Amino acid sequence: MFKHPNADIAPLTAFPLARPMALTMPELDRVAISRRAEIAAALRVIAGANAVIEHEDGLRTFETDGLTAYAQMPMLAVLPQTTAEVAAILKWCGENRVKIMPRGAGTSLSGGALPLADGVLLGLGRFNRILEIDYANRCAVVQPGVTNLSITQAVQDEGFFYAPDPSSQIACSIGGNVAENSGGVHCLKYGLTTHNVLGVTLVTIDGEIVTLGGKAYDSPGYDLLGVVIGSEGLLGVVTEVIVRLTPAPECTRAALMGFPTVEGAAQCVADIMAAGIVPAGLEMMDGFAIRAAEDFVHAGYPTEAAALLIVELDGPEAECEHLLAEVQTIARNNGADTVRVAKDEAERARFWAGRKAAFPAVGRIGDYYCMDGTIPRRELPGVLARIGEMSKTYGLGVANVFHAGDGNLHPLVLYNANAPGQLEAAEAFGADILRLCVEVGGVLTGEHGVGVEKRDLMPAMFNAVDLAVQEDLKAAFDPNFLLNPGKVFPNLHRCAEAGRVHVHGGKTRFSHLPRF
Amino acid sequence: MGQRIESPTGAFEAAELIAGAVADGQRIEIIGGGSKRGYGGPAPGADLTLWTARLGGILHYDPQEMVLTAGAGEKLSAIDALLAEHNQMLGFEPPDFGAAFGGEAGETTLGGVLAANLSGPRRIASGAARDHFLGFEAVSGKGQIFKAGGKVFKNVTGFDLPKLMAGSWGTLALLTEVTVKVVPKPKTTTTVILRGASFQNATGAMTRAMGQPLAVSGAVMLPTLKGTQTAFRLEGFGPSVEVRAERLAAQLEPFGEVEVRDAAFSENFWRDIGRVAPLASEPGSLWRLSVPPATGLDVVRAVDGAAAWIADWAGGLVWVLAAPDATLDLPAIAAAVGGSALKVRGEVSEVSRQPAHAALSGLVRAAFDPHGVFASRAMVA
Repeated sequence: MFKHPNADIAPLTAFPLARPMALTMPELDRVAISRRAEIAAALRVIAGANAVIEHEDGLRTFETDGLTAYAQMPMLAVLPQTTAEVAAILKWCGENRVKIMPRGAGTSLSGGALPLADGVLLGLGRFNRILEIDYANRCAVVQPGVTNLSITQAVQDEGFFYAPDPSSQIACSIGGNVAENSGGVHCLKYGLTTHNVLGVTLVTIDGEIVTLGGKAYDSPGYDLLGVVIGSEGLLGVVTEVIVRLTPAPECTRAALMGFPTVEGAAQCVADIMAAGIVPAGLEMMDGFAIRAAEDFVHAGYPTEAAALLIVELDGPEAECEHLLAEVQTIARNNGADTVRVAKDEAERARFWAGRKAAFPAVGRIGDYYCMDGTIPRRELPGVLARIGEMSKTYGLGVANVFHAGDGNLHPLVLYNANAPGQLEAAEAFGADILRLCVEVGGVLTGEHGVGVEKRDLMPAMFNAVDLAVQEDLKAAFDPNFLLNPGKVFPNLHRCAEAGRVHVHGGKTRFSHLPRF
Repeated sequence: MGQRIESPTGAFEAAELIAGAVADGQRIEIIGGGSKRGYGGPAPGADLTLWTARLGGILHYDPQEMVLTAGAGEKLSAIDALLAEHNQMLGFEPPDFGAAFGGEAGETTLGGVLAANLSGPRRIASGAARDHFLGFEAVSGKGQIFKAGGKVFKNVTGFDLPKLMAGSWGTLALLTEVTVKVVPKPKTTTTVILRGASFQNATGAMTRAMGQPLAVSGAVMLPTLKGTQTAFRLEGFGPSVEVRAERLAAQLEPFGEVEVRDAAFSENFWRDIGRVAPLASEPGSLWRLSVPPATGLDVVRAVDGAAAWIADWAGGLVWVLAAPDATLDLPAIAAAVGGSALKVRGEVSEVSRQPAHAALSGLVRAAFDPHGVFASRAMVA
């Protein structure tokens, strides 16, 4: 076997950092790095020569995910094609104490797929087939590399869809959705990934293949499926997913409502929910976001409004008509001065165009940093007021867009990456917003995941015992902490600067993907 | 029942009791209302019984927020009454199994239904108990108080431990405080009944109905002297229910006699289905078969004539009441269609699982309860 002349000298990393990382990661495993060629050879035996990527050019593809502030090339990458190969890879890495980072499409906004310099990146992109569509049991069996949207595309002619619709749905993989428990605009009515996945095939770090859940509504024993969903690649590698298919609604209608005050819009949301209406989507934008979006896509938004609501209702036509009337009454009772119902599909699409363009619209104004916290809805006016005060203190603008129905906030903190100190200020502002979310009874992340981004904020929400219990569960699945290390747990006990979703000059790694 | 019964008034007291039991090498059985003590075989032998009756109280409820936090020992009857005042309810329709499993009706607690992950007929439309369980505070088998999840709908911060607690039957931790999502009570409820259809036509009708945007929130098939009785529940706003009921009735007419019943009928009918009332009052071993819904037909064909049955969840949940001398191999019948069978009343049943699942479950249990202080239950570990 060819041996590189320097193979015996342990470098600090296999490759230099693309750019400095302010993020503290687990201590570098120099032994693994020194064994790089041996590890690659072992992986080639398992998955074939073409499945292992060693060259810098090939590895650069994987150096970052949707959290572009940080980049790190993996030591190696392997792209297996079968569950048996994944099992053999995990078994070998487990026995040899080599770190593994599973990766889907790499669209994570929280750095969940950020590689490690001393680990093997396990790409699941070749698991790209829909294996079975079972309409009678309203489910489909798919491989994890299948994109979210392609499931709906495969079943829509039969009148079904796959409900969770994260904004990156044209690119993100279902395996990544399982890892992150992804949400989307319509999860208020249809639930998150966890409510729409019936089963998975999981490969453990020992190389065991375990079936969790299935086509039946429930399965005997502990609900291990429930903890694997949303575990951010820390518990095992999913190689097959059974997703629930939902009958597509007959009719979808949307209304746009502008309010002179944030309080009025927030109370309107509360009153809609209290009336027993569960909209398919219920989105809010603040004045800054309304005007940025309107300037960008001319959706016909009332630019003088302090807050805008988009309500989407679906169901039989009679239901949509009935509820649209109720929603309009509720809006007017809360002081809405603009109430418009989309006449047709084109107008409904226009209502959404502004909301869906909110991120890039803000990106035209400057660099921004996207946050993702959830609060009890009743706290919305107070939290917005506090965010406004923080904005003054930090001297940075902020645009607010929300999945208002479920209290999931996406404040976009504006800064200038080229101005010294502004990036740090934006990160501090963002952390303050998330701490505020927890303070008012909410949580650090509603749908983007903890990843590396919010890892060091975890103690704001969980005490040492809470975190220790979670780490004990991690250890039950992965006793040597080899699966996706450095994510979720602030186990490093250092004041690391957390990474963030930074968008510079409107460019992101996935600039073609809508984000909302 | 353990030789000693304790009823802690808070998490700290519970933690002391659990730590004490660990130190003394004692085993603990956790009891809520006791309504399911007989579920899944006889209750485990234990030295100490922890009764959650004094861990009650509705701690927080804001109807506009649609989230409720209560002590784990709070009775469902109290929670249901409060929610009803605000036209809300628990979305998973928790059944009261008191009468069916050797307890009393009306004693079921919120912590109990969550720990058992029990859901009623509405499970096919709004999910199981686990899907409504947002967060909790608990005491682990190490005697440590911890929390997980949150008090909002949308949360991906840390592992989703409420899912793991749901259905763990008190073998991982003692739940002390739980937060659940609540849902609006439907304004109108209608039940469309099809009578006289063959097994095949009745199950086919359930499968077709579930595959359309009719928002069916209950679909059950019962045997009758003249074939089957199959009921479909439709709920929501009046104009919507009316349209959906008309459509469904028109589809069902070729297969038998169709009748549309009102809200009052519906309330009693579906409550009885949830409690398995048609079978629970009869003696015999009661089995619960969880299978892919469209295979409910195969299960019913295999057991009909040899046992009484109800096929709920559009065929996905088949309750079977087997006579003591019946020779049906229900685990094999369920396994043949990719499902599982649990004997919920009668002698302790073996629950078979894949070895890899059992091994992982053992490690998970040890992570929460390394000393094995919580008594085992046949259906989990």
